[in-house]
Amino acid sequence: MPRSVWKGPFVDGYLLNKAEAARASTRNEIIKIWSRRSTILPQFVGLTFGVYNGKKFIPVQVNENMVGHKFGEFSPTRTFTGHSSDKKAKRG
Amino acid sequence: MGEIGRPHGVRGLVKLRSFTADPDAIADYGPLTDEAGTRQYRVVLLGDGLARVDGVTDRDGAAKLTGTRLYVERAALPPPEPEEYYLADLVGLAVETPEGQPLGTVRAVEEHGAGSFLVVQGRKELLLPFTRAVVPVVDLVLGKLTAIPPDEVVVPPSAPSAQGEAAE
Repeated sequence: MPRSVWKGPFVDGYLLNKAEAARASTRNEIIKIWSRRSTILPQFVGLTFGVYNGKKFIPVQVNENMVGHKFGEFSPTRTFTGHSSDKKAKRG
Repeated sequence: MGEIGRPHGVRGLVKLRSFTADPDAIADYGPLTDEAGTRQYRVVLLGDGLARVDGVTDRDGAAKLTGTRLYVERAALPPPEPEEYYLADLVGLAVETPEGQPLGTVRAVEEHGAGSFLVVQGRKELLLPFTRAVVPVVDLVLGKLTAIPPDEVVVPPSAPSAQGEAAE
């Protein structure tokens, strides 16, 4: 059963404060968090978080398409080593 | 680019594991070679992970190829778009700060749906977002890239008002 709409999205409160502070500063910074359960809000767009996966902090660059998802979805907890082959990376 | 798997049927077909971004693209780069580059393979994809290898017509011939890893010359890959880099080009590059202080070498480039990041192996492992702000210079000719590691802001779960919920 999905979460009731009247409750609003869940997010750990301290993330909101930290995101506001990060948006105000122009420094190049990565916000390390443990809160994988928090929903990504529009206020987080453009920020970079380091989301803990139990071992390390995976960089998560938040964009508009990620709003409504949880932070944990972008920080896998299991190792998958693929092949580079013809795969490309785009510099953001 | 891929790996030849077990034989399929008695007419020389094989299972083919493709490692390319688009699995069907494995046959688009011309003949594939083995690891030593001594033998060439032309493959025709048949769907469902099956392929026909030119010159192989029976099961025994197909069985001999099981486990063969397939490669292609780097020059056979098309040039990437601006601001795009092949992972194979990035892996192994030396990473240093703008002041010239070495940070390590790129061990891997990963992407989990939230932007690519470099895994830099130095004295300790660094995960650097692959952005212009963090990696302003990528010099494939010199084999190095310049990185400005971002400041780390730690937000521990025990911070005050940790369990709040956002009001809509």
